[in-house]
Amino acid sequence: MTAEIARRSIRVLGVATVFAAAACNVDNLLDVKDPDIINPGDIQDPSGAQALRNGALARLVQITGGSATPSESFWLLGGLLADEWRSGDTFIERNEIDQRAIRIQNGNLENTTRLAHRARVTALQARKSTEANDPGIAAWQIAEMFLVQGYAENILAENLCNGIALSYVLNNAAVEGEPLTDSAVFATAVAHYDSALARLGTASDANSTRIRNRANVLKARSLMNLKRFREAGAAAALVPAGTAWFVRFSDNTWYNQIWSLNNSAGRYTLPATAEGPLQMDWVGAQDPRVPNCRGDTTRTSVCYLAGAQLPVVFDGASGLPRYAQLLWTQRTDSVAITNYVEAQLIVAEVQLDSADARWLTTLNTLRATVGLPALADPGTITGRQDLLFRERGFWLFGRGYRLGDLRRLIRQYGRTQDQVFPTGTYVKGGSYGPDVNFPIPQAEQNNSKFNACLDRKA
Amino acid sequence: MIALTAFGLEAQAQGANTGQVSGRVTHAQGGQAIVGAQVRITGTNLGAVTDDNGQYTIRLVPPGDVTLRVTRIGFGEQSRAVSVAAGASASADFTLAPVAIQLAEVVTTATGEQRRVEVANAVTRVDAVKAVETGAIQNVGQVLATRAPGVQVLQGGLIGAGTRIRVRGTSSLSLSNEPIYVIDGIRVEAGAASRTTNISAGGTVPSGINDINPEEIETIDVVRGPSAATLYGTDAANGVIVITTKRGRVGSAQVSAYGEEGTITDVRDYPAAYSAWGAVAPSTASTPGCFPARRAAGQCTRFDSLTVFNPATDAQTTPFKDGHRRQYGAQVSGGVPAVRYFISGEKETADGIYTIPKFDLTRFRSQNVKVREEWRNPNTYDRKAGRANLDLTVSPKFDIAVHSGFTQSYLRLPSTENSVIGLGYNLLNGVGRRTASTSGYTSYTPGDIFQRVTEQRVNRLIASATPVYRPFTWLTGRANLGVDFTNRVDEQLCRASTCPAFSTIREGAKQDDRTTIFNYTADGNVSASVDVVPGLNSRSTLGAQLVASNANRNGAGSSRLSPGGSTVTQGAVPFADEATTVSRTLGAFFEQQMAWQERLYVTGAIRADNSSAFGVNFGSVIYPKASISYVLSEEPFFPSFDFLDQLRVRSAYGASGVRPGTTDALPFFGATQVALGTGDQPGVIFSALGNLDLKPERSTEFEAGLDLTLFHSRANLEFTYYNKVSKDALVQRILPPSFGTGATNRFENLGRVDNHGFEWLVQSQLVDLPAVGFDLTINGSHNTNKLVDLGTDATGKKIPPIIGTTIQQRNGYPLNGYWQRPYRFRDANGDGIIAASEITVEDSANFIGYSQPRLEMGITAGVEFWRKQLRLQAVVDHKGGHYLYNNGERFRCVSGGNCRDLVDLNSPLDRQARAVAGRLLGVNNTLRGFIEKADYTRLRELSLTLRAPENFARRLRTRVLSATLTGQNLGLWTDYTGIDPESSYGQGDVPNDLFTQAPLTTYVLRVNVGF
Repeated sequence: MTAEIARRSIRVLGVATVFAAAACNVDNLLDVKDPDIINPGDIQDPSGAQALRNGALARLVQITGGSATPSESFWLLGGLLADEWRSGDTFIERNEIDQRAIRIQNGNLENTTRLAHRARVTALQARKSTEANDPGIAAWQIAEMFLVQGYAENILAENLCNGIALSYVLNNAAVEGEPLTDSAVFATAVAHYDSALARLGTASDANSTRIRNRANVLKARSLMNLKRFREAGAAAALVPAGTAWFVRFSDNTWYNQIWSLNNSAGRYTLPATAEGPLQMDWVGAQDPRVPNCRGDTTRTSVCYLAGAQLPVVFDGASGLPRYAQLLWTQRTDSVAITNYVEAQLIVAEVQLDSADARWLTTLNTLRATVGLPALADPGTITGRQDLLFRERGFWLFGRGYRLGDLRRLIRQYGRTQDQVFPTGTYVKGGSYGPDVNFPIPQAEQNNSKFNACLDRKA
Repeated sequence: MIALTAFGLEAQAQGANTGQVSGRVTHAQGGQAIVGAQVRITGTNLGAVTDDNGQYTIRLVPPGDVTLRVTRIGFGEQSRAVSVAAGASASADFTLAPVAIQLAEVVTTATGEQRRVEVANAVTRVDAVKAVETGAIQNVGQVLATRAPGVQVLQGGLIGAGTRIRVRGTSSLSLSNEPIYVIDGIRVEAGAASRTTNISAGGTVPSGINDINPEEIETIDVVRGPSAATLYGTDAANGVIVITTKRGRVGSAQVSAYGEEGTITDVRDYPAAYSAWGAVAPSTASTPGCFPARRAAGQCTRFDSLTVFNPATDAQTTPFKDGHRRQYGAQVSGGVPAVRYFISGEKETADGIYTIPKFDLTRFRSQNVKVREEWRNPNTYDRKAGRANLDLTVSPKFDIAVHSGFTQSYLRLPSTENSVIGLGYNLLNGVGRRTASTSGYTSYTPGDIFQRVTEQRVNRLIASATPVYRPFTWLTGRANLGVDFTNRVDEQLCRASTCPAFSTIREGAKQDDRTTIFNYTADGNVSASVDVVPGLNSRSTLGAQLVASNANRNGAGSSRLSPGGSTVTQGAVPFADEATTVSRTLGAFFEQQMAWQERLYVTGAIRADNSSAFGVNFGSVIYPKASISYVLSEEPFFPSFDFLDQLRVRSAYGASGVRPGTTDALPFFGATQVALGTGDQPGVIFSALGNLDLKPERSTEFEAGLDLTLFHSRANLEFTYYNKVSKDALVQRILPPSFGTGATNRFENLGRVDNHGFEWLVQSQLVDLPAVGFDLTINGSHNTNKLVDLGTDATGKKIPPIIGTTIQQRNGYPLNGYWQRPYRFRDANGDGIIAASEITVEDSANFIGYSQPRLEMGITAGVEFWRKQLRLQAVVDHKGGHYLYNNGERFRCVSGGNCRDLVDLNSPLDRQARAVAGRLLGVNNTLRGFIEKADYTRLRELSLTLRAPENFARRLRTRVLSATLTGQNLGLWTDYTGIDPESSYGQGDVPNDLFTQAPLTTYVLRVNVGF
């Protein structure tokens, strides 16, 4: 019987040994697959490159018309810091931007800055992936990625202080960027637009022509930021009527965030009266280029838009009236990143700068397209500049131009910040601060080459 | 059957060469049988438990002299030498004397049950049976609260809200600081993470621990730190909550039944909304922002009136009612030596304190809106729980315990807390008068808010088997195999044209998420115990463990619902999503213990772990452990003192870890979509950099302490010092925005966090007369926490401080400390108004204090009289040494502008100053005044228990009959000015009082009947 016990013990040990051996095959046991993620190795082919390019275009939507998360784009934040929007929100983050007193810890600013860099870097990654995995692809598809890069760089430089780092990650390796002046970043954008144009060459197919026209107007904008007016005018003059680049929205992707945050949520509102010294009275002007209305609880009202309109903003205790824009009245309304009108406004500004009398004609021709009466010449340099920028304000409302324009008025036209930015008592308490741009978020200090803004000049 | 026959033959064969010991264990006072006493032969794995006649039999005892030890909680331990002859039966009866106070003699460890004196750590065993019978215990958190030193329990306020438990402070900057949970030998999901959904109800999150029915629990052992938790492996650094459910004992069937009925109420005062109406330049319209400070600064051109309204206290507008709690259950246990069973069933329901106010009901009637029950009663909980535990003794060498518990629960949560369409926000931020549109609520009224119905349904099975094989008296093999399975359905519904008119919500929406979570545990160990020389025992244990988790969620939803529609398919815009989380951790350990004369125990152990969550460049992690436990008072040389029964000194060192998230180590891309002219197209975006070198966060801990038993077991003292160092701390290193990564951070092993502190436990039976008794238990702890170093990056650059709005992580200061710019104020012109100009703010933020309590004290005092048939017990809970961000009042003052401090001239100057400093200083605004000392003392529980005298109970044909009347959260003493210092939004490491439901007050009557 003892032998029987011994045999049983040996059998038990044998079975235990088999299990132990299986257990020791650690690699098998610990090799788990998470289907939620896409491994880099799975997109190293033409379809992967196409998906990356689509990803870059998705990022472009986020930095323009916006996405729900994690934050709005610089289109809205820049307008809040300037005189386009007033914060109807209870969140400190938006209020302090509206108040021109922005902390470097501001979460919305960080998220929005990340969005802009993501668009830039994703376009770079998509371009590199396309070049490596789909070298025979049409040139316009590479050029389009240059445009996304350039546009993101331009947005960053129009909004942020001097000191922007253009870091990037390629093949999972991060390369830290040095802090650059805004001018250097504008120049980088111009270089990317030039690369796009070079890629397109003389191709005359519809896609190439479409991308070329967009490249020219975007390049003109960055050149204006660099005060290279003559080159900008030349580029803008190449842009034919009908040119437009729209970002689109859908139920499956994102909704138009201008509509969401203003019309639907009331966290943004048009100021009831002009917020700054430039007297951009969006509500009172009743200009057809910025149609708007007071939020209304009457179901039949034109401002009963999403079944959610109230006469006051989200921050109800502030008592601020809620005004909604009516340019984009549906959640999926497309928004133009750029168009022929912008090109003509650049042409007009260059004409004004070079004392070309046609500047007013150029503006009035545009006005006629929406039935507005012709403008009279104010007769003074300053008056003409004010008029031109006022026209830009109405034509380009809500699409990320206003802060850049106010900064250019200081930087290129010699205005003081008090002459262009809101000052005095802030409507929710305290006074306006001194900011004329956004600080680079504190999170950038994790870049070993960056410490802080080089300066906060316009 | 074959196996059973084989075992039978084997037993027969061995029986011829061995003997057996049997006997009876009885009470020293009266001689009645003691049921459930453990009788063990020391130095072997042989033992038995007494049946309901107090009898026991131990078979297969090797011939020779053996020592029997008998233990039973509430009685003094006894040992006796017995001679056993081969093929003969020896007899050994024991008479145990009760002791006034006694700690549990055994505790549950990673290798099975061990005598307390062998374990060198301070392991607290909570007697759940006693806690449940004498208090209105609703969940496991309440069993632990105030009963275990060093364990911080924070209960949510809503019915069904989760429980946050922290053991010995917080150690991790970025990972979970929750302990892990082990039930009957297997790992289970029990923290907040197991219940977090992608459907928000505004901040309240249930937790999986609420699925565990406290009535089914026998004991809870709290393993407090890495020095004790080493063998539990990676994840155990934050402590281990070891739950052992009830088991059957040999004897006839014993039935216990219980029932509870109670009311739930909210006794907190909610602040009124104030408004100063007037014209603020440049506007001429009357708005609510004409604050005294603005009037003083000349910004208010016209002051009209001050209005005050509190929707919480007005009969027409209050959303509060008294809730109700009900619980009924029964348990039966018994068995024969070969099969013991425990079976239980219970149903619990609770209705919360919210309802639709009268004015809203009137409105609905006028609008012809049918009020649904789920709107009228938006916070309910219903749980049905059942358990069947079997202990099978297949042969004298082999037994197996099978545990299975099933829970089905339903929870309905209203939107509260940090939500624009939540109750708290709308209740507290009105405009200070009863308006026509919202009756004094901010934007949306409770009737609309409660129309948004958020529900969670859970079916959960926790099943395990623990086979134990003892081929020889010196060798024991044990395994734990089990699964924790959760099937969860989370739903949220806003029917068309219902819910708050915020954004597009009234278009109607339905979300339906279905989640299955499997947690598997497979572990086993082999333990050999031999006497090396007389008096020196060696016990070696070799074990391995696999813990695997697989969670899958399929979500579906739709918006723009058809009128009358309530399902996903009835919406115009459908959407779906899917999420998977998979992880596996494999570990092996070896432990060696040497025991000298059963008074000196020296233990060394090592555990190695590998996990799917570790970086591919990182191999295994090794955790060592060493400990010594010395019952000094049993040494012959130790002087004898009348007052001293036992003195034990102990010290332990050990390490454990916390693993990173399942995909934290991986670089990967994510999917996206983009709307193009050609329609919606799929895209890919770069998401995470990953970290191929990622390893677990590693905590090492030194612990030392002493245990004293005094005055003939009428007092026990336990004192412990610990020093826990968490190295390779996983810092969620913020990535520069310019990298353009989707993820905003990545985990790196960088930092170091230290925790040290003291814990104490004093249990005393101060009066112990036949008719009257008085006992007092005080437990407490004090913790010091420091973030020693955030670390340096690959280039040698120091990681910059992590700065949040109120919380900062800085080297040399506590983790999650509060920081803010200080201010000074002076009413320079003596007008009784603090204007912005009368406040000076310092340039930079300074450290204010801890966000977690440093000092915790739980005091339980019980008085027994009427021959101890009547017991009055009070539990007092104190926490202190910390601050709390009064975020709700901050919001009212700084964002809403309707707090009294800002609006009312009669507010104290310091309160005016904090409001003005928060709101009216522009770039110098500071929230310092809203970060308040949050020390509090709470009368946590007061209960009166009446036990029927035995003869009376017998007359009613019952074995046991008792009734308990309990009140919970009855009194609060604090200087904190917010609604409640225990209000905590969310389940994070930093409590945050943001429109959060305060702990509720309950009154419950419970009746226990035993047959």
